[in-house]
Amino acid sequence: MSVTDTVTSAAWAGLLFRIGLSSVILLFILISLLLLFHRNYGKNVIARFTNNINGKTMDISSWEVSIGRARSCDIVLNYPTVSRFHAVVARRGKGWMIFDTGSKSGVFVNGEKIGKSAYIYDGDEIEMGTASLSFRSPLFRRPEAQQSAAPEPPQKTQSKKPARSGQRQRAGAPADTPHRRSQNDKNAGAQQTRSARQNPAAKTPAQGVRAAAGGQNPAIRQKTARPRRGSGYISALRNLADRSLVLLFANEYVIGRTQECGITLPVMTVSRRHAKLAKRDGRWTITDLDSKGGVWINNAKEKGTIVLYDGDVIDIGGVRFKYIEKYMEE
Amino acid sequence: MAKTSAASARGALKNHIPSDLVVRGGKLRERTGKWFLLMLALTAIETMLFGSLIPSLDKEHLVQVVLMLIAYIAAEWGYYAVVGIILQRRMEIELAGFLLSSIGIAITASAFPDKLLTQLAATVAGIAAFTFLVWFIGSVNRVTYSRIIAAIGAVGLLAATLLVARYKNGAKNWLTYGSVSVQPSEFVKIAFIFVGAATLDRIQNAKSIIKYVVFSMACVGLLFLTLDFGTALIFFATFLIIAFLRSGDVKTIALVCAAALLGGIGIILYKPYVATRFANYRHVWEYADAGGFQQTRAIMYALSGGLFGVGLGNGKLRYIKYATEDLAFGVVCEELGMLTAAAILIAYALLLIYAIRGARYARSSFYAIAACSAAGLIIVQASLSAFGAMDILPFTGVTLPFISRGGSSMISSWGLLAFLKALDIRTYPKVLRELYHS
Repeated sequence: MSVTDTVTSAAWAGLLFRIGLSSVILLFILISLLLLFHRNYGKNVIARFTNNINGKTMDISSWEVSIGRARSCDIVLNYPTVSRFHAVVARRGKGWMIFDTGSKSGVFVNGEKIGKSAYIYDGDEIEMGTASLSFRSPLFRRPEAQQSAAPEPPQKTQSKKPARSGQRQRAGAPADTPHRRSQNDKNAGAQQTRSARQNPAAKTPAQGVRAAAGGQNPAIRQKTARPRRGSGYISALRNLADRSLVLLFANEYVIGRTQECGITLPVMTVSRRHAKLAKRDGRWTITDLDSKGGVWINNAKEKGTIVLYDGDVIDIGGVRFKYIEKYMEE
Repeated sequence: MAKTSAASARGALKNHIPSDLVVRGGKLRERTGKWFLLMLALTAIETMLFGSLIPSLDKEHLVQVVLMLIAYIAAEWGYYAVVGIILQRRMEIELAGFLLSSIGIAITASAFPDKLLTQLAATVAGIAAFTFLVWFIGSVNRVTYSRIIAAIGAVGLLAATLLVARYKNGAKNWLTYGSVSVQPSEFVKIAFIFVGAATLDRIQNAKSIIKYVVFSMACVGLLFLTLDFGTALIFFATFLIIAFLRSGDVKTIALVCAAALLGGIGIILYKPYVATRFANYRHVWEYADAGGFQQTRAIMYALSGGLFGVGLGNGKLRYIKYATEDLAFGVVCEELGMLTAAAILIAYALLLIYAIRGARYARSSFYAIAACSAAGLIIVQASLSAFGAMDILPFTGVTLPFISRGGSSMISSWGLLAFLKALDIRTYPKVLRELYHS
C-alpha cells in the first residue's frame, strides 16, 4: 500500500463523514421543527355569548374579544346605539373582565353601569346601547359572597333604574335612530307568535329567572320601574315603515307627538296625545284619546277601547305598527 | 336549577382532549417517548460535530475544550431531565435551538478556543432566559403589569448606550464594563416584541397604537443615532410586522413606510457619510480590497466549501476579522457545507411558518403577535446576516441568530424563541386543565 493510497482513503473517509454530518443536521432540524406542526387540537371554546334579541350564540376561543359596530370587531353588534369599538372582553388571571373602550352609551353588567372595567361571570348579562348579551363561561362563576349580597339581579335593577324605561321606549320611535334588526330575529319573533296562537294560556314562571344559555330562547331582564304580573311574555309593536321595534315592558303607554308621551311619534299627523295602550287582564288594549286622525286597526277606524290581537296592524296618524303579542318570553 | 343549567352549558362548551395527551394520575400528560430518542440523536450529532474539530485544536486548549463541550452536552441532558422527564413537556423548539447553538459553539471552539467559555456561558444564560420568559409570559396579568416597565427600560437602555458607549467599528452599540461587554440592543429586541405584542385589553384601541408607534420610533431613532443601521433596520421591520398585526390596516403601514422612506432620504441628503456605508452594495468586486473586502472573501470561501464543507478547522474565512460574527454564514458554508447552511436557513423559515400557522389557534392575541413578530425578527436578522455576507442584501454586520459568536446575540436569540414556545397551549398545563376541565 503506497502513501497516496492512504491519503486518498482518509480523504474519502473525511468526505463521507462530512456528508453524513451535514445530512443528519438537516434531518434533525427537519424532524424537530416539523414536530412543532404536529398539533391535533383545533379552536377551543372557552366562553359563549348569546344575543338576547335574536338568540344567536357566539363561541369565544381567544382571550380577548372586541365588541362593537365595526366590522373588524370579533363580535359585531350592528345597532346604531353601539359604538364602533364599544368594549373588549378579556380573560385575566382571576376570570373574565370587560373593558369599556370609550363607548358613548356605556357598558352595563347586570343593569349596572361599569366604569373602565369590571369582572364578569357565568350567567351575567351585558348591555351595550340597545344590544343585550348573556355571557357563559361555566368555569368562572360569580363568587358566593357577591351572590348573597345581591340576591336577585333583576329586582335590583328594577329599583335602581326607574328612569331608563321611558327613554328606551322613545328610542323605538321613528324619528329617533331606530334599532334595526336582522332577518334572523324577525324569524324568531314570528316563531314566538305562532306558539302564542297555539297555546295562548301558556305562562312561564319568569320573575327573577336569569337568561339560560345554550341555544334556548333567552329571557330578557325587566327594565321597568313597575313590576308586571301575569302574562309571561313581552309584546311588541313593529314600526312597518322602518322595521324598528317598540318593546312593551310597562303596563301603560300613551302614544303621541309630545315628548311627555311614553311612545313619541314626532309626526304632524299624530295628535299631541293620540292614543293609550294599556294592559287589561294580560291583554293589550288601545284607546283613542279623541285624536284628530283617529286610531285605525286593520284598516278600520275604531272608537273606544279595543283589545289587540297578534298581527293587528295599527295606524296612528299614518304611522303603521304591527302588533306582535308574544314577542319574547320573560 | 342553576346547577343543571351550568352542567348543560359545560357540556356544550366541552372541548375534545387531543389524542397526544393522556390523563395520568388525574393530570393531562404529554406522550414523551420521542423526546428521549431525539435527545439521543442530538447527542450523537453533537459528538460528531465536536469530535470533528478536535484534530484542529492545539494541545494547550485540547483538554479544556473537550471538558467544556462535554459539560455543555451534560447541561442539555439536565434540561431534558427537568423539562422532558419531570415536567413532561414538549421539547421540539428547544431541541432545534440546542442543535443550532452547538453549531455556533463548534465554530467558536475551533476558531477561538479561549473564548469558548463565554459562548457556553451565554448559551446556558440564554436557555435560562428562555425558561424564565416562558414562565413569565404564561400569565397575562404579569404581562399587563410589566409592559410599561419594559417599554421604559428599553428606551432607557438604548439612550444610556448612546450616551455612555464609545465608537467601536463605526457604531456606538457596546457597553463595556471591565472585561465584560454587552450589546444592549440585543436585549431590547425582546422588550420591543414584548411591549408591541402586549395589547391585550387595548386591542384595536387607536390611542394605544399611537403610543406604540411613538415607542418604536424612539427605539429605531436611538439605534439610528448610534449608527447601528443593521439593528435599526431589524427593529423597523419588526415594527411593521407588529403594527400590521395590531391594526390589520395596510393604509397605516403604507403611511409609516412612506414617512420612513422620506426620513431615510433626508438623512442621506444631510448626512452623506451614511450613504457610503451602502455604497459598495452590489459592487463589492469593484472594491474587493476596500469596502467589499469582507463580502468578497465570504463569497469565495463559501463557494470553496461546496455542498458538504471542508471540515471544521480547515477553513480560511475564519482568519478574516469578525468572520465568526458578521460572516458566520460564510464560515458555516465553507467549513460545514451548503447543506448545513441550508438546514440553518430552513430552521428559521420553519419557525416563521409555525408562528403564522399557530397564530390561528393562539389563546390570546398577545401570543399570536409575539410569536409572529419574534419569528419575523429572526428571519429579517438572519436574511440581513446571511444574504448581507453574500452581497444579496446590503452588508450591515448583524449576527446570525444562534450561530454567530457573541453572548448578547445568543441570549437574545433564545429569548425570542420563548415567544414561539409560548404560542403552543401545551406549554402551560394550567391552560390545558382549564380547557379540558380535568
